[in-house]
This record gives sequence, C-alpha cells and structure tokens, in this order.
Amino acid sequence: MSAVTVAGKRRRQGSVPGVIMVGVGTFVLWTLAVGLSSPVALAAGVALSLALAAWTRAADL
Amino acid sequence: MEMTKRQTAFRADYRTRIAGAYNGPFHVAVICAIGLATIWTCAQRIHGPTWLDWLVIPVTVVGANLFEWATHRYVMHRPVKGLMSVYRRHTLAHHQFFTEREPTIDSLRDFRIVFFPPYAQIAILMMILPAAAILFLAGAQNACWLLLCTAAGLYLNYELFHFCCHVKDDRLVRHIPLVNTIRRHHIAHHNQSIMMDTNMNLTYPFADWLFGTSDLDRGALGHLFNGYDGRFVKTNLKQARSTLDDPTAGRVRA
Repeated sequence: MSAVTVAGKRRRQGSVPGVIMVGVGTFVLWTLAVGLSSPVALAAGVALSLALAAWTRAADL
Repeated sequence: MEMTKRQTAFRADYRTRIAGAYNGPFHVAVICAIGLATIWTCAQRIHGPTWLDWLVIPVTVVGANLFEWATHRYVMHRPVKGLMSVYRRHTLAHHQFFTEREPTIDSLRDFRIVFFPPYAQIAILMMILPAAAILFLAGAQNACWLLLCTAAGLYLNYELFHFCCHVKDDRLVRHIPLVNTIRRHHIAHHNQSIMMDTNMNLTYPFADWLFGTSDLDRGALGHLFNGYDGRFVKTNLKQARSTLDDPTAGRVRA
C-alpha cells in the first residue's frame, strides 16, 4: 500500500465531519446573508447546503 | 531539474485516486463563494467604525501570520494526535507531490492537492468566532465584523498565494511584488532537507523573519520584497546526505 493510499483511505474515513461542517456552515452563512424570511429562502438555503455537502462527499474532500 | 522516479510515481498514483466527481475550478469557486459571502455579510453590518475598530485589521493580519507559521510548523509537519489527517495530507502527500525539483501543477485536477478542502475554511472561521463573540458582547460590534471580514480575506489571500506558488513560472508571478517573494520562499520550503523547520510562512514571510526560520539572511523589509533574489540565501542550510530515488519508497513493507 503506497503512502497515497494510506493518506487517502484514512482521509476518507474522516470526511464525514468535514461534509457536515460544509453543510452546516453553508446554511449558517446563507441564513446570515439572505435570511430565512420566506419559505423559498429557507428551501433554497437547505438545497444549497445539501448540494454542497453532497458534492464535498462525492469529490472526497 | 528533472523529477525523481519517486515523485513521478507518487504523482501518477495520487492522480488515479482523485474522485471522479472532483472538479478543480468548482473547488476554487466554493472557496471563493464561502470567503466572499462571509466578507459581504459581515461588511453589511459595519456602521461608522472608529479608529479603534479599524485597529482590529492590523492586529488580525499579524496574528494570522503567526498562526499560519505555527500551524504549518507544529501541526502540518508534525504528527499531532487528533490532527493526523492534516499531517498526512500535508507532509505525506503535498510534499511528495511537490518538491523543489518540480513544484508546479500540470492540470486543473491537480487543484485537489493545492487547495484545502472547504471544511478547513469553515473550521478557521469557527476558530475566530469566540474572539468575534467577545468583541460583540463587549459592545465593539464593528470590530467584531471587521475581525471576521479580515479573517475571511486572509484565508482567500493564503489560498491565492499558495496557488501562485504552484503554478508554472511566468512573467506574472515572477514580477508581482510579494507574490514572487512567497513563490521563491515556498518552493525553497519544498526542499525535503529543510521542509520541517524552514520557510513556514505561506503569505508574507514575517514570522519566518521574526523567529529566524527563514532561509534568507536579511531584514524584515528585505524578506517581504525579496522576490526571486537568491543572493541572501543562507549557506549553512541543511543538505540531504543521501536520497533514495525508489518509486516504491513510500510503500509499506511487511
């Protein structure tokens, strides 16, 4: 197993907290920037946060 | 200088392991979006700051420089319990992918090894929050928002400068003041003989000058505006006594 493999495998194991941080962080930032004054703003914030979190997971970041 | 067989093998191996969904420009766009949204959101809340409020900016700049130096030296290059992923990603991957022989990227997918993952940016902003909260609760709301703006801006500054260190050399990066300085400074740091304790700054080599961990022998201003000048490089830096150019050197032997 190469050093890359070791780094990669262990990093993937630890990526769930990172994904959660990105999702929650994005939602908090959206709330501060846009606000949650309407259902549309809330839905957009949730959708953006979930999409970014999902991409972070898929991209293994 | 030609890449060693080991570096060539490492790069090939690393690239096969980058996830298919990864996209370099999108990675950068996410970092910029988080940073710029933070700056914009916080800037909206600043109203009539006093000179004391503005003083937060230079204090944050110096503090961030010391933090960047210390984190790089004591976390990214040392196996610290609980922060091993940072050490593995930096010392065991970034420093194998980029060496002083070949410190540059070849494609947009190589952004994966240059830029931090987005959660690092969120983590840095969260680390600033207690100080910002103290300022806010103490009635210095403007200082609080200025602190967050500055921190978010410095993070983008860090990523931009680090990116400039790992792009191909051209007339832009060679001639832009400060950028050319950190480029030479950081590429020298990628020499594995000195990477553990020399040239630990990644934006402005102030802390390296302050703590004597720079490879240059000159004053503070000379450090900041050194550019590509090699005349002041110390002659007593550590040298590798022998190197093992073995593509399997990174493999675990049973």
